[in-house]
Amino acid sequence: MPSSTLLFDTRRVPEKRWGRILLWVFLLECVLVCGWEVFWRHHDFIPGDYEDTAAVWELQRRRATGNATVLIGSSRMWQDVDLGAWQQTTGTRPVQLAIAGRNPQPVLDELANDPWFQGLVVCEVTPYLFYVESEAFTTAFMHKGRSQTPAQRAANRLAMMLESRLAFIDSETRLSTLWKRLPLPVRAGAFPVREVPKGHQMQADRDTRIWSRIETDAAYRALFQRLWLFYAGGPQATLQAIPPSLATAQPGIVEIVSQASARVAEDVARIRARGGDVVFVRFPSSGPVYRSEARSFPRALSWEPLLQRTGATGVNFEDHPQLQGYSLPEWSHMSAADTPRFTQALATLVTDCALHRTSATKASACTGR
Amino acid sequence: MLFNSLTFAVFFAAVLGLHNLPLPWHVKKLNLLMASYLFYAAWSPPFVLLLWISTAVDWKVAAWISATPDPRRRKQILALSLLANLGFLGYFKYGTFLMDNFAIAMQSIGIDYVPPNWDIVLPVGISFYTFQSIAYSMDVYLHRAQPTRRFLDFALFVTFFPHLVAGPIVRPTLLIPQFEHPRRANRAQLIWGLGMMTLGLFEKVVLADGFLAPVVDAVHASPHEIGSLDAWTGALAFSGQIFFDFAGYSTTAIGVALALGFALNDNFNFPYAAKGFSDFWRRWHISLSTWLRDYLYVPLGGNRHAELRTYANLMITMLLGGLWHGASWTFVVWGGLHGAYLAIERWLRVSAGALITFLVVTVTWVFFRAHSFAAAWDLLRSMAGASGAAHAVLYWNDIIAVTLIVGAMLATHWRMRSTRLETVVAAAPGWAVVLVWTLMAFALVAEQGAGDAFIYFAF
Repeated sequence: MPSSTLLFDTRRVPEKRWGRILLWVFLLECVLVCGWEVFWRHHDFIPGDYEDTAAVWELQRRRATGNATVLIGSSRMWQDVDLGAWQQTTGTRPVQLAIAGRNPQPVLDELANDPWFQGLVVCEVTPYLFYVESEAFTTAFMHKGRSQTPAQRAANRLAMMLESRLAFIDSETRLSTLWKRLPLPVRAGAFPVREVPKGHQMQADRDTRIWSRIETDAAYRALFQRLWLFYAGGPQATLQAIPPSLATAQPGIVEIVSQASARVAEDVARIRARGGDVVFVRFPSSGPVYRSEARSFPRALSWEPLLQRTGATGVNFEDHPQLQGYSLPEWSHMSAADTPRFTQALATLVTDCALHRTSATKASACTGR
Repeated sequence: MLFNSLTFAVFFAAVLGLHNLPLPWHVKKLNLLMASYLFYAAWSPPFVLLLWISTAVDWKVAAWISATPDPRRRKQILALSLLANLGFLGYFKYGTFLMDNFAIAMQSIGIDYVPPNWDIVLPVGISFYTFQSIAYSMDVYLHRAQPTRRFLDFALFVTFFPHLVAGPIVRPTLLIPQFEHPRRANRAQLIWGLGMMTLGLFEKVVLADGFLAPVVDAVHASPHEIGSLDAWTGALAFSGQIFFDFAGYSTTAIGVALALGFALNDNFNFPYAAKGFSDFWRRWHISLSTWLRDYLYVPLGGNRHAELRTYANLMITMLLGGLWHGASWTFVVWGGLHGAYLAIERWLRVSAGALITFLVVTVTWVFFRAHSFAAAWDLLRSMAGASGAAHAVLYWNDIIAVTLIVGAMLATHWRMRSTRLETVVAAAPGWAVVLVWTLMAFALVAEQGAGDAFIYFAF
């Protein structure tokens, strides 16, 4: 045998009083973990706030079948709609498939190509994300959820069990995240915004609200306001002014909207052919975020052509007084206390649109005009 | 199934419980075998079939070789084992690579050949268990060992879950004898095994995945040219990531096996304290480098022939060793560079110092990590300070974290270069062991871990 070192059948174990060591490690570990849990519960973290992973999304995707009502879009659909309030209003609990910060078109494609789905799709249209954001991120997220191994599916179930009982199970409390959040100066030339910090709390079925800290902590809220301005207008954005880059419409907007609408129209037609329907929704935004969206994606060049090309009905908050006047602490997402009332109003409008899309009342029901 | 997953925690608790029940040894081994198939099937059930085929082929081949005195006939039977194992490896791991290169070769002579899109899924761990099976047949063929009498022992040797998907590549002469008689860990072995699992998972989950991987990914995913500080930070971070990822896996595997009462061989011996490249390969992925030495380099002739032939054998071994890591020319170049370093060292009969060795190894990792030669060159240019309008992709938090972790890693490797973990732990006061173990376990819990696969799962 050439490797004589391999001829052994026991590994050396250091001489120690291992029973006592293990007992001490166990006791200290219990103390540390309990202390860690208490610490985070005192910092606005709660048990039952789940990570929004591809695995959790996939669990909901499997429920989106038959006559289900499915919500797709990005963070406003995700955080501003109260699934319980929707259920109270319509009798149906919708399936939440919106993905924060992502283009929802691949999700719409998938539902359109799913022969088992004949339900109602309510699709948020936040202009930049809907028309410009790369679809690759959404596709990768969906693929990750679909391609889980049996072990990963089991691990997800176990993780959700722990998350239902422990507050500190949260990506925001990881050691590496805490290190990333240390307020060190940003290097010259580095992207000034690293990533979006925790902004939501989510239940197991992805029913999600804005995180309470944004509503109660002015400094944390201001961080998000700066973030949205940065994403909207680049590093020169300030809280006071709209950056010059947003003074005009998105370059090539007509072509961009035309291409997207053509593809979306095919999806809408496929879903309708099976007896389902699609309703587009423009959620409320306010302050500089609203102004930048309105300038870079003027309604006449984005929202109207989409509805015209797809023949779908749309609910735009600008048209309906009952969708206006809600509190949007960081200009983009709704205060948790306002979401039930907003959801009731939205669900009523959407139901009317879906029910009456072929009737003469459609125009007044959906456009508010 | 990943060691760094909640599923594995439940699985291991069940296996450990079963293994400690008062059952006959034969039943316990059957339990371990079934658990190992479950461990593998939890990733993809159909690929268990490959394990079965590999096991059955080498079991029969070794028996036939042993019963056949005719050298030519023995060689033919051995070829059957090589054909089956390397055939699987070739198809699943190198199929697309071979077809793509064939298409390029055809295009170079004016034939427009478009290879079919096979969309082959690589069965996890195939590079490891095929090498183990080959080692069994080769040992019997080379009269280094007798075939085992019990099929169950051989099947468990191939499939034993601690080493199944990412090594260490265990020799049949080490593991099969351990299945012959009842084994159960005593209290010290069980607790030390749990301690090694904590250490291994800490390296993987906290250091490799939590702190270093995001830095490496940011540097390698940058669409712009980056500055030399970012490039060097990314390269050093990868040196740390690949070590903590793979050594973490190996340490966990050894700990898991020990907690069940079995001994696996070491796979790493503080490699970044190596003085020169021969020393590095005696310390890095030891089970692969000794496998390549015993089953490739030595059969090729090793250093028993003329000097030039020795260099050729060295280069062939390292080039194939590079290719073993992945179906890409970047891996071949990585292996070739290490072959060249070994050849130069042999020719000059001097070894580089530890720091030079580490820096050269770090620069060479660039080819290992980069997805293409273009990406590798871009990063090397940035490291040389030759990039133009460089972008800063990292933050001070990243740079400080990498400096601290890689610095601590190098200091530890240097401190430990002539000793063993067991020796240091034996000499340390009990409270220090408690403190370090508790902090590592707490860091593991606090980091939570996203269940990312080990890098070597892809090899």
